[in-house]
Amino acid sequence: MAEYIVKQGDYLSKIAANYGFRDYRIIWNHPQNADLKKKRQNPNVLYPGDVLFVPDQEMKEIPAATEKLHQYQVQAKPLALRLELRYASNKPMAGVECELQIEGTAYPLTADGKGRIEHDISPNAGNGKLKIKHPEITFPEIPLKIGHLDPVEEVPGWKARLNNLGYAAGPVDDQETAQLRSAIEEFQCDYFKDVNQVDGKCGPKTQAKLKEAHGC
Amino acid sequence: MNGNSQRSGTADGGVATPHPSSSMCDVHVGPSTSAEYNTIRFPLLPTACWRLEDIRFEFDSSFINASAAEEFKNLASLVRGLPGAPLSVFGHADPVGNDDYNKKLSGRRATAVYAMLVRDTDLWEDLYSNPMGGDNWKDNAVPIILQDSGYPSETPAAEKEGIKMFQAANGLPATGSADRATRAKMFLVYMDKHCRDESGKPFKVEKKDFLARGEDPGGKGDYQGCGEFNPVLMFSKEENEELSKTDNKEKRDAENAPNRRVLIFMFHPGNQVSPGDWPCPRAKEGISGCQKRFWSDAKTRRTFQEKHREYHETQDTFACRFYDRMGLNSPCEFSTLVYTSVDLFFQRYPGIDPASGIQGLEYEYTTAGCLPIRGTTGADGKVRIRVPVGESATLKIMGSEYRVKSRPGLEPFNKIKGVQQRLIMLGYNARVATGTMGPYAEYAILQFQADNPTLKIDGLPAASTMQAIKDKVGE
Repeated sequence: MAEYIVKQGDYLSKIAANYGFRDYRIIWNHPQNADLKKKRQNPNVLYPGDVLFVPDQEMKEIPAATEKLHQYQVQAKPLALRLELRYASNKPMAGVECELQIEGTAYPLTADGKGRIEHDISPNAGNGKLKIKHPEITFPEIPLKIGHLDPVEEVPGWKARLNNLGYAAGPVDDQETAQLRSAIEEFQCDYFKDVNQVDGKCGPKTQAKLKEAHGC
Repeated sequence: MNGNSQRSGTADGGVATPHPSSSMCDVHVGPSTSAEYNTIRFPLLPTACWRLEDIRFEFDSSFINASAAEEFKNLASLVRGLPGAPLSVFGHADPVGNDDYNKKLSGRRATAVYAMLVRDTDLWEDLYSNPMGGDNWKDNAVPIILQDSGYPSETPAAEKEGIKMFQAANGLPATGSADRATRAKMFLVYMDKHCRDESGKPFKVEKKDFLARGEDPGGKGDYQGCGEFNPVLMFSKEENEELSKTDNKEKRDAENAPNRRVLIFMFHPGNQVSPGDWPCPRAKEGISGCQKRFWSDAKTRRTFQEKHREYHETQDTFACRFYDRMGLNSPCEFSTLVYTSVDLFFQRYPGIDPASGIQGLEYEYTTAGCLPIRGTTGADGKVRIRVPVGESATLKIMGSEYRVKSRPGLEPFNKIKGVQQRLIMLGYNARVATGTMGPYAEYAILQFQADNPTLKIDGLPAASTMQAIKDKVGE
């Protein structure tokens, strides 16, 4: 049993891979991690400082005859990066051609009717780039920090999601600035019908809405 | 290549410049092992802005002055340089008067500007037929237009004659009375005369090139008035008390002038808004839509406080959060000079004949954080670049790249350094402006003197030579 302290940029699949586990669920479903699992819910959105218990590897003994080819299926859930792209008007970027670059390799993709693109990634992927091939969209490539999405309960988690949703909250850190407050108010104004809900504070209700709107 | 720099700012009547927009910084996403998606929505960000000062309108009126032609010329260059970037017009009023009146007045100004750009004379007719408070086009719109076109108008009798002449010249029955049809023609002639591009051709924008593409008959998304909700400067409590005295009315109006502006934001190409989603109420509507978008501390922002506040310093004078997010870091929402424009002349030989400009050269320039602006040189071979003061732009032209840096000012023309700077600007190779005479400086002076027959060719920076250099540069 090892205790692992989560660092910025860590996500469970990556940690699992580093410890030699093909399936992150062996760690996530371990009773020692029940509290953390309940708190974070999404194994790929952890927070620096979270404590993870990593069980020992169990050696599986499988009898196998020599000089014969044996095939083994490794049970592992594929890890992917899933993005849903929308225009400023919130309409999905259906059918738009993109290029998703992950750790240096470029994958041309076309967004589906919901503006969604996804691609498998290796457990160690950390950096990527997104290019939108649309004659009218002139944003240069967008840098992606994979695995750096903090939980929605934390300030950097608010900021990252607000930025992703187009509300420009400022750099993703723990500073609660006026720009962040303005972004929260704009978000609340757009997503809550009742004007009394617009208070510039990201409480549990706003956080839940933010998680729902962002997708994770 | 020769260079010549000039300043533009609030004194001139307006600003037209690219925006250093807050581009998308890192996007933080979480990988998923089940079905979670990370939503990425592209923000609505201005990429350029244009500002028309209060002085370009008749006082307390939405009628646009002929002098605004200069600003419309700059807008034309900006629009042509950013193809596909949709526009939206925002009118503003100062804090004097009530919210509702100010919203409508600022809405009328935004409407007037919009109508000018798209040549919608019906909108001007609407403003004419429906005066509001002090904004009454019936007072002087017709005489102003007549005089502007060279027709008599000083007395009611002269005006009647003037109208007759205008009607005759424009294929209308010469009744001497400006009816609706006559006014429509007058408006169009006036619009065409004062809304032109740099080459002098009438400049027009299509309704579909605005943010909401003209989909809403009331202009929702395309033009709106913010009333007094977003001033760029707020007096201190003390200043306001002083300026509110009856004797000081004129002074107060003058001090408040920067607030009474009309802004146009241009957005990234591809951005489009459906009127239903747009938070701003229509130009003619009341203030409740605006109030929904107020900051939670709007009341404080709108109160005159201990200190005098200006947006570019305190960033807390706007009450509307939605507008605040567009105006943040906008060079158009400063109350003082923040940018300068540089005119570069591309000629075949330095200093000889300003008329020998190279026409038809394609160019592109970028300033940090802004979208590239494209254009083609006209007959005068001129490229005008707008740069925030102290920053530089990269200009690509004729297969070369130039770095154009705005500078705070030239040395005096009668100092060696100033002479050297100016010679370099004129294209004579004085090398580096060191402040002391050297072989290069002397040779450059010789060349300049050779090109200017009135000067003695001796390579010396005498008073007449220095003056001639100054005159050639223009400053």
